[in-house]
Amino acid sequence: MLDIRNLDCKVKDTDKMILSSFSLSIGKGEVHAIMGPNGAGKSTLSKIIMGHYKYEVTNGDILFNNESILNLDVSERAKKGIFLAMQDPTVINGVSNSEFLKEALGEISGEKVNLYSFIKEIEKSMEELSLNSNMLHRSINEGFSGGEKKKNEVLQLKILKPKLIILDELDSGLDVDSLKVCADNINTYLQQNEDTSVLIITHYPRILEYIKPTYVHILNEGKIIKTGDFSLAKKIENSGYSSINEIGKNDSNE
Amino acid sequence: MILMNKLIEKSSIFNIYQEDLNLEINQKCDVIIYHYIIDKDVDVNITLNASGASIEYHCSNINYDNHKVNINIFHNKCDTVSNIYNHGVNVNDKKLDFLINGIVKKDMHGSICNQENQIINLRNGKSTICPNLLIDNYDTSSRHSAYIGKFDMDKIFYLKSRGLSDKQSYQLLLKAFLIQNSTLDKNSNNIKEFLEEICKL
Repeated sequence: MLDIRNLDCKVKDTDKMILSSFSLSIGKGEVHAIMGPNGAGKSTLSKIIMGHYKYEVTNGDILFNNESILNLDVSERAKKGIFLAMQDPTVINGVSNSEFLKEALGEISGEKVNLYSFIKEIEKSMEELSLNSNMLHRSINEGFSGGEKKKNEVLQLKILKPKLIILDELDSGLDVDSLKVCADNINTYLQQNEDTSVLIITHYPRILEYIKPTYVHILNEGKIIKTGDFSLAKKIENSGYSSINEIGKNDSNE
Repeated sequence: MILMNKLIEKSSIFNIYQEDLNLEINQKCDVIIYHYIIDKDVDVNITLNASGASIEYHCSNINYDNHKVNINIFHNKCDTVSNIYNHGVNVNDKKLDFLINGIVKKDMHGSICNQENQIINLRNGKSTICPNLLIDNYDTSSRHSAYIGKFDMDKIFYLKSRGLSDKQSYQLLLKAFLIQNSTLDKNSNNIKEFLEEICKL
């Protein structure tokens, strides 16, 4: 589904490299986790896939369903089915959640949104996420708690129905109960949409207890230095990233 | 030319379109004004003549040519309150100037005099904001803010990451920025005209 090939990427208008010869392949229905220390380039990777304006790809390619998306605008990537649940969702005052979601759904589905079905679906999804219904009429993420912001991201993905979900540190700012609610909703979505793939970006293995990864990758200095299964995440928890760096120097990547 | 000249004696909400404004509040009451302007010079004078009088004034301005918005708020009595919100969109490479004076005279203690001003330049227009707080009294609470620039690119990125086009994203942000009244009657003729003008941007 997602194929990143030898990607070099830098901060636009600077020489600061973010990714160097980065490759990653995510198949249909697979869940990949990328872990790494602060500053490894994890969150930036998610933004690069989405086409963020601050970054420039200087070499390599990103294929989505065998088609290069490098020349596609952010909204076109979203329409292809890529969804980025952001680490710190942006506050947009004055634009209500309902107005925004209705318009986004119309664009993603390419059809006129039936208001009755939309309201019914959104009410059901909000109930499943334990979200207060008055949140729909509030401005996007304005005055939301950390948990509400993350739940709002999950609400959007439930409505917009993407094929590739990128979760950028979903667990940051979430209490244990809210994380479980978010993870349960994502797991249900994955059961209902078996071809959907997930890229989880995280510091800690806690979220991976809830959303089981097919592969775990360790990212450092813009490169994947080690790939394994869930046991690799547990090893990080016990020994930290420094032990992996040492292994990375000695072992070949799986 | 003063097209709207009002003397207010009870709490009220007004929508004003394309007019200058000369307003005196002579009773203890709360007045809210939404002022919509398309491409013209505007003078606004609001005088608080009664203790406890309060004004919440919202100005929404779409600008194409060189224009000035002059606003004076006079606190002529103690314990008066003014909260001023000026939002302008400068569409072309022209000049939009905001001059906002909050004036609290000596002995008018206990007053609150606030102003928030923003101009979004859609292209390379030259805009200025002069937020003046002319306060001759120590017992006054006051703050001001001023922003001139583009829309925050992170907001555009967020909206586009959910499938909205550039045009749709800007339209949502422009409406949020310029329509500050959430209970606005969108069917009134003047407001319709203003909303249609936003859609052209």
